[in-house]
Amino acid sequence: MRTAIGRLHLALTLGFAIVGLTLGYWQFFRRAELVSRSTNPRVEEEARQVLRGRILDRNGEVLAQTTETPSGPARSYPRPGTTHVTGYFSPRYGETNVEARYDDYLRGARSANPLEALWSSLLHRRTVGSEVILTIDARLQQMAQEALGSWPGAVVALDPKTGAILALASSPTFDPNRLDESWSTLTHDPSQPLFNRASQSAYTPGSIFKLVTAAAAIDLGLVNLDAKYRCTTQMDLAGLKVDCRNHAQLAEINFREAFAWSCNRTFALTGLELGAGPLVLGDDLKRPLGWEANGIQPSVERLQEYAARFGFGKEIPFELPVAVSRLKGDGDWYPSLLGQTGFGQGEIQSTPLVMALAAATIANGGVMPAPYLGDEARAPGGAVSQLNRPGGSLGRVVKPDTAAALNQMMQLSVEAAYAQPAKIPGVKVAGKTGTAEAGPGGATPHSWFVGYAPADNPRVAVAVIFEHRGSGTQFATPAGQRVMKAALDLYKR
Amino acid sequence: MSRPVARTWRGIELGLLLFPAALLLVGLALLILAQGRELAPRNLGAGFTFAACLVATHVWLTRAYPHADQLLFPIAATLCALGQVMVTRLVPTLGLRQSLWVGLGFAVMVATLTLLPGVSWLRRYRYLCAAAGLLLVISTFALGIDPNGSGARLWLGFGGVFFQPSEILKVLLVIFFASYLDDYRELLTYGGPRFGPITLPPIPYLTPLFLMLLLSLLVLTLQRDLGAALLFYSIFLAMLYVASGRSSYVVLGLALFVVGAALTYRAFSHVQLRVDIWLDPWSKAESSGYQLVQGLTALAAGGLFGSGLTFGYPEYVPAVHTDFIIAAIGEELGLAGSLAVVALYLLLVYRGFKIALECRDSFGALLAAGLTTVVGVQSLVILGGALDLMPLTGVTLPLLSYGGSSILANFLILGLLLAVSAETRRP
Repeated sequence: MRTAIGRLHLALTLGFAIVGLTLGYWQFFRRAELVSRSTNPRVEEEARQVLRGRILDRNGEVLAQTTETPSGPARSYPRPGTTHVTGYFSPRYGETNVEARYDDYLRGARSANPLEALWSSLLHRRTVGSEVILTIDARLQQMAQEALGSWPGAVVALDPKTGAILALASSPTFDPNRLDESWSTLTHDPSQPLFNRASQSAYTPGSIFKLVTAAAAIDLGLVNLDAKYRCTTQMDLAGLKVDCRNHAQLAEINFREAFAWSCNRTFALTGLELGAGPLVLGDDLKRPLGWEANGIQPSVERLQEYAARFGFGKEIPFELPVAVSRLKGDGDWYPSLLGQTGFGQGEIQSTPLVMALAAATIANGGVMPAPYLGDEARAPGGAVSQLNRPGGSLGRVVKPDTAAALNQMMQLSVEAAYAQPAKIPGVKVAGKTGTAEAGPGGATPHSWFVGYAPADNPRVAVAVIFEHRGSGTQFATPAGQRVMKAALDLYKR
Repeated sequence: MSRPVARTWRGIELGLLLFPAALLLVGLALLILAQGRELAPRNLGAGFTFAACLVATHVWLTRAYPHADQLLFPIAATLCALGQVMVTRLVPTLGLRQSLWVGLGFAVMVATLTLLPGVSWLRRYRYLCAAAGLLLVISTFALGIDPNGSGARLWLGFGGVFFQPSEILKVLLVIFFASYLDDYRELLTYGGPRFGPITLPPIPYLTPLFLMLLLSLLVLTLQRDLGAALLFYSIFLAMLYVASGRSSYVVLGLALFVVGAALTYRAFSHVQLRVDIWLDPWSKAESSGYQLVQGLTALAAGGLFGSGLTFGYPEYVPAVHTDFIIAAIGEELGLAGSLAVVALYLLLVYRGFKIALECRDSFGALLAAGLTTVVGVQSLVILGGALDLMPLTGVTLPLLSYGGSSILANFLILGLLLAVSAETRRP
């Protein structure tokens, strides 16, 4: 009987040992995974306990704040024009954009003063989040949003020297203060108002991509910018018919004018001939051309290399979600596709953010600035964390001389050619328009503009797109001019 | 052999009792502070009363049974103190009721020791015990109510107080088993008919025993009280093993259990559901697996040291103050707290078996081993269920969970264990 009792005791002891080990398994080894599951109501409960930090613009204007209400803390957005930057914070729908990116600061999980934060949590004091100060200017943002109106499109404005984003507008927009009531409408709306088009939508860029093609040709030393050539005849480039009608009034042009007047024939040829030595562009071309004799591969490689430097084919490091801009879909290159890509058609897709950075790169002497939205986070005690370093770079894209040449060409475009609506009295403006064929045949083209001002000391670079609205000159360019002028008025000092 | 030296005072017990007294007082004080109420002596009434009851019981034990085991009562009192803190924290309105039940529990323990004219007196009334227990349980068929909405009518109610007869049945059944098995111990050891390597128990002699067991299991299964059915079967098997010393009976019993479990699984959809939840609670996190998933999440949220009393969210776990109290302890007191609870049960079980081993009378040893098994297995069944180690069946965590019948039944067990110990060690 004693042995049996001993064994029974051993069995129960083993049972408790297994229970103890299992407690360790759930409470220690599986802890992180279980706590982060959506079935854990504590995430939401703890969020309700936090006095979430405010989001401010560069001038201290409140963009998002948390106030106490009888039903608990409530997040409100006094300036709904900045919705696509701040994103929203909702116990039910989660958080997006800056609310998501700097969530750890805003909810006080990360602080410039970690000791203080630890002390508060030990004493079970209510967590007060840090304030996040953005580079956005709420006034300029409002202006950009108004420039878009209700038409689907996007505006990006940044300081080309520092990379600080001044405005990032997307239309249509939504009111983050009324998310609960409008959620189902918003998610079912085919125009996708919750979507930030400025960084998350990729569009056919059309003629604004000539900036990249031209940059490659000039940087490679393939083109004499001042040599005049006669350009009147429609050409058949491996089945792609391209003409010179964009500058029908000018029979003889040079490369600068071909850029300013957005000559498709010149840029299709430039794209195709990037791998073939000095460019010959006139009507008196003798066949076979370089690419016809040697194949398009060398040209493809050179265009791809420059496009990659301008941010195509990779995610731009940025605080908001970004779409990847691409030169081409999944298929192979063929001559007429390369020719179309040279003037921004074909399968190429680009986000407004990347095109704004392309303009900023030229404005910045050929170095692409690293874009950023978060300036600093201020802990409740006053300690400050720098979120980004102004003047960061994503690398040199073209030589300074190339950038200077493109600067001249973009100024010419504003002074004399299609980008004339971008003129600002007393200020030199650089710009390029785009009218991008996209969608089914006969669809109204996208209206694009990229530019910067003042051209001799750039303070602001912009990209504007209106989806399927018409010519770049008619719609995007005046909107770009308004935004640039507003920025210069705000920062003339 | 050295004769036990006569002791007139129980110093170890008194020293150890400081711990549960302090635990409840500090715990209640923490709750008051966390709720921002005034920390005044009048708000700590339950704590002081509990301490006074501890001292009174201790003094009475010192006078009446100075030689009975000194650790059993402090261990149980510590579990009770933690239980009162947790119940007060989880359902403040039930805190005082729980304290009242604990006080009544002390009284039941004292009454058991006082009124029982010797442990061996019990063996004479084994059929009365068995019949009374069964009658109580069967009466729930006619009179049973379901005050908590748990889906099973397991309670009897009189005047706002609810009583769960299966809690008392388990104690009465252990008395019956101990008495019966002790009478037929030699027969059992010798064994009955043999089939090759398998030796069956001498079934004809054990008919009343099996009848009693089958009746209990039938009643409980019909009442959907699966936890209790599992518990009763484990007790029966453990006591049969202790009485006979034959592990072949255990193998046979486990085989029968597998068959029985398979049949129950086939027969009852609620059993299938329990098993499905056990195998994969996560896919049913929003439906039938909600309780288990929330329980495990609460445990995980607690981590090593817990959120601190009142700073967790255990109220998301259904039945957290009864079956799932370990989830609340794990969340707010952390792995440190939940392992401490496991350690307390280990100690309690150790003392129980020590009493059984020390007992010179085989009936007393069987009784003590059986009662200890009740407490140990019941703890394992609910802990294992809450930790997804086995299908979840609703039983209380002894002495910790809220529930009057459970507290009283467990103090009845403590009283009987102390009685065995007192008789054994009487100089």
